[in-house]
Amino acid sequence: MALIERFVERLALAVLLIGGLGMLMSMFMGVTDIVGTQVLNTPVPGPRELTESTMVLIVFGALTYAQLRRAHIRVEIVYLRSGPRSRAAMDVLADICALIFFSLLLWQAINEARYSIQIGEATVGLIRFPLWPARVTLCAGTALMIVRLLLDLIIDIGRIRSGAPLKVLEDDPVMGQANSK
Amino acid sequence: MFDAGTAGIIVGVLLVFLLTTGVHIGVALGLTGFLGILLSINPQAALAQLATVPFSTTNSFSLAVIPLFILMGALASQAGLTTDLYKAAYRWIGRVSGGLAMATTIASAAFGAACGSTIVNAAVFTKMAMPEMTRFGYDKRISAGCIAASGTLASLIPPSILMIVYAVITEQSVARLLVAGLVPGLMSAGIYMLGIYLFAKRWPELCPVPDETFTFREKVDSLKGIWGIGVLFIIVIGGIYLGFFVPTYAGAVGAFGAFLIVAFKRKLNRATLLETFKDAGITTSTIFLIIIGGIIFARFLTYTGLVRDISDYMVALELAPIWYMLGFVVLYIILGMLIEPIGIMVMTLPLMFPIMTSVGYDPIWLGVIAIKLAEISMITPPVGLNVYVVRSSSPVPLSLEQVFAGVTPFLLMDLVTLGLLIAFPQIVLFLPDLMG
Amino acid sequence: ETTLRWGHYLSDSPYVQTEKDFAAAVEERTEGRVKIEVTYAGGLGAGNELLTLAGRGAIDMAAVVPGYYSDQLLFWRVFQTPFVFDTPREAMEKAGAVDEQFESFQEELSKFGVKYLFHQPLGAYYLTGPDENCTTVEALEGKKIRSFGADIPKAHEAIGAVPVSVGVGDVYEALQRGSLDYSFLNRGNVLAYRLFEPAKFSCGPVMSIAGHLIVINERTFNGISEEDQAVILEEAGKAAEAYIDNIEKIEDDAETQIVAEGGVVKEFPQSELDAWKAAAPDMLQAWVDDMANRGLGDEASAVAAFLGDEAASN
Ligand code: NA
Ligand code: NA
Repeated sequence: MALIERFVERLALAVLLIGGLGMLMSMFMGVTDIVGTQVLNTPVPGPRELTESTMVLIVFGALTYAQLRRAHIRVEIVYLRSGPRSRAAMDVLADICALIFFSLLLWQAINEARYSIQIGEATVGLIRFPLWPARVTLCAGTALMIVRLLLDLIIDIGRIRSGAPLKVLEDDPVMGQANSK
Repeated sequence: MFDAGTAGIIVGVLLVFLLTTGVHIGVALGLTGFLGILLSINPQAALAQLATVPFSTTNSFSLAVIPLFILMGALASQAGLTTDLYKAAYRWIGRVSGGLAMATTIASAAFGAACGSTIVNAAVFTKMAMPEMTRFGYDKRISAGCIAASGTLASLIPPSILMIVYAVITEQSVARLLVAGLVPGLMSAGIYMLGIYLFAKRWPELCPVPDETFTFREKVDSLKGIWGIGVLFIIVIGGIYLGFFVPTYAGAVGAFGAFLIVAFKRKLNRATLLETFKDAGITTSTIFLIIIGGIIFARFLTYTGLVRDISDYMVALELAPIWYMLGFVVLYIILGMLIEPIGIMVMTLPLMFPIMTSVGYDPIWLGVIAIKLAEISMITPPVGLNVYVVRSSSPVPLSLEQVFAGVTPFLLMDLVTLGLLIAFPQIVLFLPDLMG
Repeated sequence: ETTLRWGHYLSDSPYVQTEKDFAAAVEERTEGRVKIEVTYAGGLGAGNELLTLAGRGAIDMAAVVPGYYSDQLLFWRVFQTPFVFDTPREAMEKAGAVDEQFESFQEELSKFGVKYLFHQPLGAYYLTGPDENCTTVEALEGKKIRSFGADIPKAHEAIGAVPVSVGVGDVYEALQRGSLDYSFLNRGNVLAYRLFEPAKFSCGPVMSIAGHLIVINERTFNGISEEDQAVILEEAGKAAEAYIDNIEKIEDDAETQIVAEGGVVKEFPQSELDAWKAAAPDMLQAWVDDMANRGLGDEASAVAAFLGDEAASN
């Protein structure tokens, strides 16, 4: 299990970093397009389409990493007033709900991705930018999230019995509010 | 199949239960919305919505500016701009009554010019200002309250993620809305500072004046650190107004500017980029999970016809416009207690926007009011995200109650600001009108 | 008794009055057995979701923009090819005719599980900018013109203009600030977005294409009694007719109002339009070629021959 955990963690970070590079790329493409259009009178083809696909990568790429830090936003008013066992129970409920939601989402997303590949779906524009990579990314990011949620579920069920506090990947400066001190 | 009313009650009760038990907000909204469609329409409809919403929401050019605004803030913070801002503000007004809290407000407002996210703003200044204020003997509650409230200034002072969301939902001009937020944002900051001053005069023991003094030379020196924020603000907002690029590209330009500043300060290295990517990725992902869940939930509300019924009913009342405004404010404050701002906008604007504009309210002005209300929701209990962020990222131990107690005076000041904005729409509209 | 949920990507405005009239007429003539509820502004789904949602039965009717589904609506997207139709009326009449003459159009929709009802006409496109020299091809060289889709940028590039993609909501600012020299929209939108304020001059018409299609879920449709089905189809036909007249009136009224508020509408001369068309690549032929690559060449050629009998002479 520790091995799987480490693997998921590495993979989640890797996907997040690819998303980060995508962010930088769409930043550079956007600036290039502005300079191209306004200064050189030759717009760069494709920054719009590339930016759109990158968005999918950023959002669904960072999904699991955010979960690793338990950073997804939740209402904490009751959580913070509860003891370790109740907190663990609430985490279990959160894991189960997220598992149901993302499993349904993945099921539908796989259908959509398969259809997109089948028809060679692409964006409309001066260049036709294929859409299936973004659709597959959405599936892959969701699948990884599901694996991580399963691990969390096992850990959190264990915490109900042991009463151990929640351990989070690392302290998150921005949104680690679940990591109570 | 259940009728709309029954499904609405089941889903509403379930949503409140899931939210209070700490299920992720996006998941709770998405799952209950899904269930609601399944119960009131049919399973295919629920599944089809789940199939189309996540992709159409993320694969969107108009919302792509959001991660880039987040990237801009993360890079600016990595470049040390926030530390410089706080240092400068402290040196100049630290010795005024309540000066340390005022310095926090000024620095937060200034950083708001480079940062589109309220949460990022609050987190950054908690780490910096909380230990400083504690060191000089400030009351923990008032320090935390000041940081949480000042963080919300990032939403009104452009650039702003909430404004993008509003403009996209209501099809309004992003540029006009961004400019319209500037004066109300500065005014909010001004009212905070006035409030802090009066508070510190009344209860000096809660806000002691530090004995540290700075020479004029030291004060002037501190200004050297803040050019970066000015440059960023000018290129982003100026660029839109000089017609150099359309607002959708403002995120790319702002992030690029912050990137250059990081490079210029010789802080561009692997560790910086790694931290930036983590910050920006996590913030973007958590925001979009809520947007996706919020849209699915909003679709359920639309299906039930509840949205249309309420809207028809309200229009049929033919009340004086001010009553609609009052309704709008009350609705946002109530929803704002429980739901985070983007979720509220996604849920309410398709219904409220046509009503409000049909009774004669200016769409841009309404946007600023909606964003001010959304900011207020960030610090109202029980769900006040900024309060959570301050509590959890504070190096000084804090309880949620302490932070909520601390934001109370700021909430009152916000109501004053809101009242002024509603009474005098010119405060909002004169700048965009002038520039238009 | 059936209630049809109709998802619309547009917001409620005079532009969709014909569609509202259609819904009301169906309800009245079926004596309330078929009710139609329209949800505007993407409330039930965004433009790029509606066809999927209607096909899967999540909604019963949809207004579908073929541009969002260009890999699925291979035949229908021909109605968004520039320089094929001279007027909105021509585009609309041909849209109605192809659905009857060529099976491929309905087959394409059947793959999604939806049935064609009628087409929306779009007002002719005008160039709107602060500079009055928008009546010659030569003057447009090097100008930044709002563009969208796959083919319109090619039409702009053909005369040396710079196609720029700008969302409709951003056009006003872009014209005002000069990041755009000319908008490319119909007169109704020039009025709605008050583009004549930053950009006094509108030159046109330069292009006509068709707009969205209105479709209904096939299973829902088949579940309705034959008598009521007939009513829906008949009203759809009437709506298509009425739509053209209404659009012409709305657009002419818009022009009157633009002029009353200080805008100037200039005619884009036929000779210049011919020069533009001559410079532009044959996009109808490009469509046929693309369809041929997909193994649909014969059918596409026949459609092109039908659509191009007047356009071909240009
Ligand atoms: Na801001
Ligand atoms: Na709140």
